[in-house]
Amino acid sequence: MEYAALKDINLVIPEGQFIGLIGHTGSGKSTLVQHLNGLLAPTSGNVYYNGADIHDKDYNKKELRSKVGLVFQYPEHQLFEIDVFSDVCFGPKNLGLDKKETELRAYAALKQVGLEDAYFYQSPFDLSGGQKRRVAIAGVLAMKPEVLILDEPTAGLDPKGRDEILDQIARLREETGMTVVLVSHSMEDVAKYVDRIIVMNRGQVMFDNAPREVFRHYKELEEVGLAAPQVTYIMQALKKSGLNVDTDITTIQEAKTSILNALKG
Amino acid sequence: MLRDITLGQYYQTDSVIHRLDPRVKLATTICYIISLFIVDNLIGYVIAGLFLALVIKLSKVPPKFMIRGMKSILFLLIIAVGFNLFLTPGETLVAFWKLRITKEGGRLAAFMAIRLVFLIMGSSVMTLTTTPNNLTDGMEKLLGPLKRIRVPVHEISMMMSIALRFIPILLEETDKIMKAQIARGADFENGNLIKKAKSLVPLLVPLFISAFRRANDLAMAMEARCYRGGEHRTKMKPLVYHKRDGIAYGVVVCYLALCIIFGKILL
Repeated sequence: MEYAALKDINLVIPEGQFIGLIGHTGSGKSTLVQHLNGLLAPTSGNVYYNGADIHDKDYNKKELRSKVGLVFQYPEHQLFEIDVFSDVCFGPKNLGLDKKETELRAYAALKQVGLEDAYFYQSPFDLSGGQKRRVAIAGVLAMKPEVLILDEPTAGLDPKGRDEILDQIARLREETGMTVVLVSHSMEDVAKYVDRIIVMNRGQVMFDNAPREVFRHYKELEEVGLAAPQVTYIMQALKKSGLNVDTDITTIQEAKTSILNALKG
Repeated sequence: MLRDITLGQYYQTDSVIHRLDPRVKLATTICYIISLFIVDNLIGYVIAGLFLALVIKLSKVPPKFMIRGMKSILFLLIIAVGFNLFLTPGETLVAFWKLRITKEGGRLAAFMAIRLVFLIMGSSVMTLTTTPNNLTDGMEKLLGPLKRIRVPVHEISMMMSIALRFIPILLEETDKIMKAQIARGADFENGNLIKKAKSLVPLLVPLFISAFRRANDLAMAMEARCYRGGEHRTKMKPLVYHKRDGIAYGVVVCYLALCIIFGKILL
């Protein structure tokens, strides 16, 4: 029996955009992101990076992988070096950079993820779960990617760790202006940060739009096992009971202003 | 990339061979392997081949599964055949440069090849038609008498079944870690032998760590369910012999007798 993991995917990811890729387990989001840096090759169709087909014979895949950085799910499982710093050096070293540049990049990357200097020469296995994940993300950042893809970077973290990681990513993106694709199954996580949401279902793109446009379809989202942020539900319920609020709201802050305005008016 | 290993993979279907008691299948496989080393003439190998073909036919496993399993021993096969072919002393048939093929060497090489192929095929029939759990159950029962001389039979079979269960998990894990390191610019394919061996460190260290972590978790989960070895442990599906198992034993005995008569005594 033939089974297509991905079907009819047509996406353009412009430079500098912050994208949330959402779908429930098995919807094909992880498969999709692995196509973006050439780890998987499509059975039919093409993937272009800066206008060049990445599956052309003379295309430099190694360079592509340094430009399109992919952080896997549970990235801390890939740590292997004796100390944090050398692990982060692994990526830039593979790019053939000299020692000085490698170490500079590793240092900058560890600073970018907000890890304190005291941890740099500890074994990565002695760190806490959240710290390990930061180190792993730094390992990809040290290659100075133009596009950063994170596959469920908050899986298995507590709410505090989750917020810290997401805030860090948002800050990073503001500082460097790089393109970020955030894969998640939780609307709640991404709603606050992203410019655009791509919803995947059964290997196909179901919605591809700005968050507020996507959340308008909250009934359909529920049908495929996803949910809009809780704020959306509250605003819809308020609207129904006669309060004149804006239902296109995506964050708690906006909701607060809208409710206050409605009460005043 | 690592998925074409047939050994230890179960092929799901319903056939007489699948329904046989695992003890029968284990005993048959051992008998079959022994028979391959008893016979040393062509008739014997024809009998062994026919027996194998019959079992494969009855098992309803597509023959291409067996052939896929052969690929993994191709290298071993070539070496074994090569050494036998060129290094056996005797009457020279062909000679060129420093190599010479003798009559005895040719014969030995051919038999060696047949033996190896039948050996692997025979044991893959067993693993393809028996679930790993069934297999280790059968082993535990067959080795039962050894408990008297304090061999930890239950523990051994439990280790076996856990090991078998973990093969696919670890393969998947390997694949995942490999991809993650490739995404960080690692190169597993190019370079000389030393470079290649070195490039395995970023793969093996995380793999071992995850294996230990899984082992730890499993041990904890087993203890939480009061596992304490084989003593007083009852089975949900105890192994019971049926009529077909008796018939199978009969067939195996007949086969062994045929092998000894035609493959050894005659000629």
